[in-house]
Amino acid sequence: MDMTENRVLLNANSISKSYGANDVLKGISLEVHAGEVIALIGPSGAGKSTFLRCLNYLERPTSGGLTLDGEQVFKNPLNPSKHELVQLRRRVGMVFQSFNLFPHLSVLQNIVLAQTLNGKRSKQEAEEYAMKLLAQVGLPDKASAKPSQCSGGQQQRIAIARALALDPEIMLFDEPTSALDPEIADEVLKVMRDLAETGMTMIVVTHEMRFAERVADRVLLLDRGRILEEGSPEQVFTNPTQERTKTFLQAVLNR
Amino acid sequence: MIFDRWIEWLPALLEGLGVSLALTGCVALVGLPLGLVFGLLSTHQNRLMRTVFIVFIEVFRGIPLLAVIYLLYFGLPSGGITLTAFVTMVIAHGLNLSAYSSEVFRAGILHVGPGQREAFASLGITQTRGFFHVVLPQAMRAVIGPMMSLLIMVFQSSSLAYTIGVGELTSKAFSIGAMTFQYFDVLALAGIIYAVICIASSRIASNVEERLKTGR
Repeated sequence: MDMTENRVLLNANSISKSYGANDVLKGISLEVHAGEVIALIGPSGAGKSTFLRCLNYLERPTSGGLTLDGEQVFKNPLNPSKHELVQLRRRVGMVFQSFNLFPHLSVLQNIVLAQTLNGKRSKQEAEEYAMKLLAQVGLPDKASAKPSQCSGGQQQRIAIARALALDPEIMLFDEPTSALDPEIADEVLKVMRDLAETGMTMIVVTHEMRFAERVADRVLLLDRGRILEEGSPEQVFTNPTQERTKTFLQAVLNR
Repeated sequence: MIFDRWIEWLPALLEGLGVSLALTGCVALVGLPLGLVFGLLSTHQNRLMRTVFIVFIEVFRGIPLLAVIYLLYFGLPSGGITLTAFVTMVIAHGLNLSAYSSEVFRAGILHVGPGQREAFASLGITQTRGFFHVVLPQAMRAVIGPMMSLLIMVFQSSSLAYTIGVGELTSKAFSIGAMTFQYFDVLALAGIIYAVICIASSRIASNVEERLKTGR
């Protein structure tokens, strides 16, 4: 089911990133429509994660701009204010490859913390909302556990709930299942698929080609800091235009 | 019998122990918060700021505690400032502890990895709030063991207060020795009291540490 609307939610305009003489991103532009699910695939070192991290400014682009829901995110994209950064990140959720849960807090507190610190909800409302999200990711009985008492797949589902607690308009996933065994990865991918079906706008950096094929509305193949191939999963997977895409797909699909 | 004399001396020594513990407590109240601030500033992004505090820390770790005590107690009055012996001790020892504990705090703060900072930043939590709610609690758990050893050393070196006449444990033992000429017996008892307190504290500390670890 395609949940995509016509409204452009996020517009990344010619994002570049260099580390010294090393150009990691060479001007990537991307329009993300509300409700759209985008899979970013490509060989390692292509700049997928860097691009994703530029979208919430965990990585600061060397040049380029961001528009969120039609408004410029930064007055001066090269010198964002702290306030602008915080505001952007409250609207854009992120899930990391290594989960990065807060180990000193209970699972529930992990999901509550940002809600209360950011003044979004009262403690009681935040806890109720956290319980609702834990049920959504299938872990209602883990509320009082510590993250270290949860499996990797459970930790990643908790991390998704933690990001969702701020009601983000868009969710970024940075290789969410790369640290997990394949059978554990499935439980996380299922939560992500359910989330996509609610109409959440998502950008997912992934090596899971089956997930990209089934869930994504659009697949982008990045290579050496550029978008090499872009289109619907059918187009990219069955009818790629670039020779390099074919080589990459053969390599990952025959693994 | 030595035990009879020990029982006779015990009340005076326990009174001295009370002063030693009070001294240790006050030194901790001065030295640990200062140490945390110095530890933070010595990891500051600004290079000048960082250098100033690293130099300060190195200097205070370099000067022997006794020299600082004498400097404040015998040196300051010539500048018109006279402090009581107890206050002198709290300031001198507090500064000394701040220099040593800042290193421990710094290690604890650096121990919290960049993934944690990225996690709270990605949730739109400000730097300051994230520091107090995410970084600091984890740093504290990491440093509790080394910090307890540091405090045990503070308790032991609080005996230096004897040199400027604070009535703490060593000084009480020494005056009993001076009156009875039974220096060995009374100092042995004082030594046992020091040891009992230190061993008990380090047992408690490792228990707390263990509990925090299993709770993770």
